[in-house]
Amino acid sequence: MTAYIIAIGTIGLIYVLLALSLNLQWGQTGLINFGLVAFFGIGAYVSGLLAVGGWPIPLAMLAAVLAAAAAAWPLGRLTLSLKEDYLAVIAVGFSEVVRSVFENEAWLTRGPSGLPGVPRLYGNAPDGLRDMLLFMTLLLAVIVVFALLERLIRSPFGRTLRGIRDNEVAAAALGKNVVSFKTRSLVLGSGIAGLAGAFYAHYLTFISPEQFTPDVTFNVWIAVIIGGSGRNLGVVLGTFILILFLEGSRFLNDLGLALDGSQLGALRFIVVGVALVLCMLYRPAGLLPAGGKGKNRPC
Amino acid sequence: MPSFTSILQTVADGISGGAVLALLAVGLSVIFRLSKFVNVAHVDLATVGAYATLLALGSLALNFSAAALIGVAVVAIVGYLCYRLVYRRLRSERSITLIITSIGVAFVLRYLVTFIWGSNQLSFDLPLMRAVRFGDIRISPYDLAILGVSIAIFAVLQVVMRFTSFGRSVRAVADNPQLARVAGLNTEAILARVWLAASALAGVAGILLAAKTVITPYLGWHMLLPAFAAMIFGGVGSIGGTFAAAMIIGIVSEFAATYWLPTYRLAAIFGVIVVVLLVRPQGLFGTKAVAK
Repeated sequence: MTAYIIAIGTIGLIYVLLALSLNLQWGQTGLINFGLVAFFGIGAYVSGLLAVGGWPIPLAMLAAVLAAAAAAWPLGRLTLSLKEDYLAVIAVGFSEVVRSVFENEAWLTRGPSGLPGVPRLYGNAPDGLRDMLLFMTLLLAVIVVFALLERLIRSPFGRTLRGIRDNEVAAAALGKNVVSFKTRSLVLGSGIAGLAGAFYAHYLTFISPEQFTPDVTFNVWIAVIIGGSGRNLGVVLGTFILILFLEGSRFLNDLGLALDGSQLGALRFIVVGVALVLCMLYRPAGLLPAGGKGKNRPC
Repeated sequence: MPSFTSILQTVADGISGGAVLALLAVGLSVIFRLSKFVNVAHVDLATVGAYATLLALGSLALNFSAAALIGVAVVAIVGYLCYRLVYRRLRSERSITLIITSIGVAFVLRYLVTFIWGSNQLSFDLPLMRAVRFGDIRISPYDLAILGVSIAIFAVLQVVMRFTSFGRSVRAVADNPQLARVAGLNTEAILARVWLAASALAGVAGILLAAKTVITPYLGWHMLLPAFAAMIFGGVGSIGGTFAAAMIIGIVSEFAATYWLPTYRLAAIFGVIVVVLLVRPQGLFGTKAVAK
């Protein structure tokens, strides 16, 4: 039972990192990053491949963060001076292109069958302890990222991001370089997603392209929106609800619903879709809203 | 070095793909122009069209054209209901709210289809037909029919937009909704009809695409990036531009699939988007104001 809780907790904390990343981009800045999974995947593959190639894990993870952040920069430069819709669709496309590169460039990524044998974090420790240590390290990372983001939000930089989110024209009129601020938010958030990917790789020890589909992106989106965009604590709550839902729906069949695996998966996403629409219609600020002017704020 | 014939063949295949893409992109484009957001769920309407037609074929034992008409009607109604029940209520919200909502709608459509029909590949079981030869290249009669349907629909669209009072009203609402309302146009009715027509065209595109390939719940979703590319390349709201851009993108993606890797179609289209945004973000026939 402890092992199960630690396993769920580890995946949950990785999702918390992703949600914090999206909360910086969407909650604070209003960027519609529908390609979050690309940076998660880049982080996982960079860290995994470097570690397989003999790099020490901490160094590989650092490189993963930098690579994910660097990949976001050109995307931001390309789309962030245009209407929000452009980033939204182009980011989805980017994440699909990244996944097809994972699949096709087998000389680098081992192709569709995935990359096995990624060194585990604390691989030398005995079995039970190893998972515990990894969980504690991840928890520490989440706390550090959380604290840094809270500081960032209260800094002049964070205030500018929210200013841009709430009224871009006004922020530009006050002399803020809107595109530059947006790009920095995208890059920073993507670095955090890269960190999540690195932990994911060194936890699972096996990564493959099919783990990085847009489904991951939209799971994180629903967590952020339900929790209340803009407020980090709300987003953690949202992630908690999401994990409960994803895990809990596995047991739906025990309730006597005779659904096959594909139907169960489909039902899950129907619920996610309905929840997104209802949330936008009736509770755009989420369960734990960030305070302020209420309904018209960007969720 | 690929032979001249093989290049011509690739262009021909690309044009057929572009003809379908154009039908999907034009609705996305006109709705972006009028309702000011990219309706991500638009491409999933194409999926609904394919499955509705499949259902009509199977359970009503109709011939293909009759089943396809039913499929198109179903999509038009579904698309209109999405507008009426969801998007219209959010029309005063910012576009970011609408985009997120449309992702939710897209999920509901796609996974309802998955829930009912499963995720296995299905097909219309159309009879095989001998390819028509033009010199050294071969084109299937279906591809010719697809091209014919697409050109005919675009001709009608152009005539309606240019020469009828309805077309004038649509252009007026696109340019300035407030002014259009002040001038006495019923913008609500115009928007409703545009949503209905755009959804119907998405249905047509879905059915044609399904006839060309196979039917899966991701049929439309895979077209999101290509349709978006055709929209911005052509210029948001430009009907002729969308058609031309869709043709180019169809050809580019066919070249990528033939001479590079089939799975790198999307990468090639992504490349087109990058070039368009760097060189001419407003597209071939668009105005700068729309992109910003």
